[in-house]
Amino acid sequence: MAIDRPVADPVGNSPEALAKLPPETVFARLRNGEITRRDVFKAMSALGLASFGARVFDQNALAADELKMIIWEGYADDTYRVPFEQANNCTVSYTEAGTGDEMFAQMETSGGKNYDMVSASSDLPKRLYDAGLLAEIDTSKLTNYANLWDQFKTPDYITFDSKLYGVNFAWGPTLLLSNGDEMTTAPTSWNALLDEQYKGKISTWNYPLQIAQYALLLDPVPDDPYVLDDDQLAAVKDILVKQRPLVRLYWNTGLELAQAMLNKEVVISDGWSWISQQIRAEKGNPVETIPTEGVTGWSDSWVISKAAKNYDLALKWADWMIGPEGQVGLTEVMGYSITNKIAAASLPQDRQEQLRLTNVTDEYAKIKMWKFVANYDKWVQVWNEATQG
Amino acid sequence: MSTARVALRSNRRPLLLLLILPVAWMTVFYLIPIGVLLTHALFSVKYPKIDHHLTLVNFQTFVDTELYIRVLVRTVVMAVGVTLCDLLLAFPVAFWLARRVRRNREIALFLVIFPLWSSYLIRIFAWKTLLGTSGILNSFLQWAHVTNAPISFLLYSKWSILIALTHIWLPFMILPLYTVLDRIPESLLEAANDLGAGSVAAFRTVVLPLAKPGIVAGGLTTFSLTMGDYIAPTLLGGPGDQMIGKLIADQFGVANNWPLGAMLIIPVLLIISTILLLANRAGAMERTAG
Repeated sequence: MAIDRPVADPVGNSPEALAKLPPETVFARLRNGEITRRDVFKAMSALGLASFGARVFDQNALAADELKMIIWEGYADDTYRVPFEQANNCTVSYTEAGTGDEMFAQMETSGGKNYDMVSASSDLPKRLYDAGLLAEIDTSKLTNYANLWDQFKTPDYITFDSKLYGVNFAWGPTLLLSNGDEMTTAPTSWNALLDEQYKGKISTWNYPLQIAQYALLLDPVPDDPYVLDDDQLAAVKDILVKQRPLVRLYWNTGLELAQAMLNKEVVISDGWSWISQQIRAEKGNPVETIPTEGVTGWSDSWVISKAAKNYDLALKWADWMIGPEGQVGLTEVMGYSITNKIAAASLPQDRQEQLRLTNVTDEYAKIKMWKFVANYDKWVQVWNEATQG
Repeated sequence: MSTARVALRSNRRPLLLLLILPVAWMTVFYLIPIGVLLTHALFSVKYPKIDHHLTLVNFQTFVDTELYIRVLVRTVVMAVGVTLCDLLLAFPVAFWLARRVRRNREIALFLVIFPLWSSYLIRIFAWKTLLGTSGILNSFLQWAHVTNAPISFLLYSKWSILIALTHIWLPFMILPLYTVLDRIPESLLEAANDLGAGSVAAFRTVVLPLAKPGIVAGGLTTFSLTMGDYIAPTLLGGPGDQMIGKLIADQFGVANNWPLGAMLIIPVLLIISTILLLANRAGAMERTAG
C-alpha cells in the first residue's frame, strides 16, 4: 500500500517524545510504518511509569498531611471537617467508635500509633495518660484557648501532674429519648426505662459506664455515682436484671438507636442529642427529657497521641474545633453545649438557653459528668453478668 | 506396599527439606504467638499493666463466675444448632449438584460460592432489614393475612442469630459435601439397587457412610466459625444472646484484662480439639478408597 509518509517530527520517535504526542498522531505513525509496535509499547510504559511515579510521590506528600482520629459519631461532620481540610491542605480520616472503651482499646493495643487524636470523654483521658499514650498540649499554639470559659481551660480530667493533656471542646447530658408519636405523655423519670407498659420496646446503651446512670435510681442516691461500693453495685445489678426482659436491644452506636427508633423497634431509650438530630432528619418525632433524678453526662476533649505523626496538625484541628466555626458547627450538627464563651455569645439568646450556655457553671454542675472509675473491670463484669448472663 | 510408598522411603530427604519452610512459617507466625497468648492465662492484671507473676486467679474467676460458663454453653448450643441446620439444608443441595446436575455444573457451583463475595457485614444488615418488625418478612406475612401483628421474636433474638449464621456459613457446608458426594461412583448405587436396596436404604448404607468425611469437614468449619462469632449476636441478638467471642474480645479490648481473655480462649480450644479427636477416632478423617 503506497501511503504518503508524513515528514518525521523533528523531536524524533523516542518513547518520551511519543508519550507527549496525542494518541491519534502516535497511531497514525504506527499505521504509516514510521514506528513499530514496540516503540508504542515503550512510549506507553514511559507514560505509565511517569504517572505511577507521580502518584507515589504525591502519596508521600499526602501521607504527611493526613490526620487520623477515633471519635464519637458526628465529630467529623462535613460541616466543620471539609473547611478544615481545605484550609490546611490535608485529609482527615476518622473512625467512629460506639463507646469510650473501644477508643481506649484501639489506642492501647496499637500503642497510640493507629490514631493521632481521640475525642476523649471525661472518663477516658486518665486511662490513656496512665498507659503513657498522651502528648502534652502546647496551649501557646492554640489561638482560641483564651476564649474558653475558665472551668474548661485546665479541668481535672485532662490535667495530670500540673500539665494539660487535652482541649475541652463540648459537653452535654445523656438524656431520656422517647418517640413522641408513640407516647401520649412524655416520661419524666429514669424509671420509665423499667416500665412494664413499654415491654419489648425499651433500649439502653450497651456501655458499662451506664451503671452510673442507673445508680441515680438507688435509694439513697450515692454522692458520687462513679464510686460505688459492692452493695450499691449489687443493687444496680438487680435493677439491670429486672430491666432485661423488657429490653428489645442494647444499642451500640448512636446510628443503630436512631434506626431502631425510626423503625419502631424501640420507643424509649437513653441517648444523646446527636441521635435525636438524626431521627428528626428522617422526619421522626423524638422527645428529649431531663428526668427528675438527674442525668449523667460527658465533657469531651481532644487528646493527642504521644506517637502522633502530625502533632502540629492535630493541634490545629483542636484549635479549629474550639474556634468560632467549629463551635457553632457543633451546636448545629450535634446540639451539644460548647466551651468557647465568645462563640456561645454569638448564638441567638433562645438557642443559648436551650444549650445550657447562659449559666454554664450551674448547668454544668447539674450533670453528673463521667469520671474515671478505679474498678472499671468490675463494672464491666457486673454489666455483662446483668445484661448477658 | 505401593510403589509410591517405596519411592518415599528412599527419597525422604528432599521431602523433609520441602516441609521445613511451611512448618517453620506455621511455628513462627502461628504456634508461637498462640502459645504466648495462652501463657497470658497464667498472669494477672494490676492496673494498668499486666503482672507477670504466675497465678491461677483467672481459672478461679472462670469457674466462679456463672456468666462465663453460661455464655459458653449458650455458644456451644448455638454452634450445634447452626451446624445441624446447615447440614439439613446443604445435603439436598450438594446431592442434587453432585448427582443430578449434568450440564452447567460450573455455573451452579459459582452460584453457591457467589454470596461469599459479598461482605459478611452486609449480609448481617440484610437480615436486620428482612426480619425487623417493619421489615420485609413481617410486611409480607401481614399482607398475606397470615399474621395480624408483626412477629417481634424474629429479630434481636436467638432466632435471628441462628437464621443469619445458617445462611452465611451454608456455602462452607455445601462445598465439602459436594466434593465427597461427587466421588461416589454411580456403580455402587446401582449395585445396591441390584441387591434389593430401595433408595432410602441405599442412601443410608452407601451414601451416608461415604459422605462422612464431607460431613465432618463441613460440620467442623461451621461449628468453629459459630463458636468464634460475635458480630452476629452483637448486631442481631437481644439481651442474653451474646456469645463467648464477645466476652473474649471485651477482655482484650474494653476491660483490658488480657489474662482473663486468654483464659476464656482455652475452653473453646478444648471443645473444638475434642470434637476433632472424636471425629478422627470415628474414622471420619480417613480417605475413602475411591
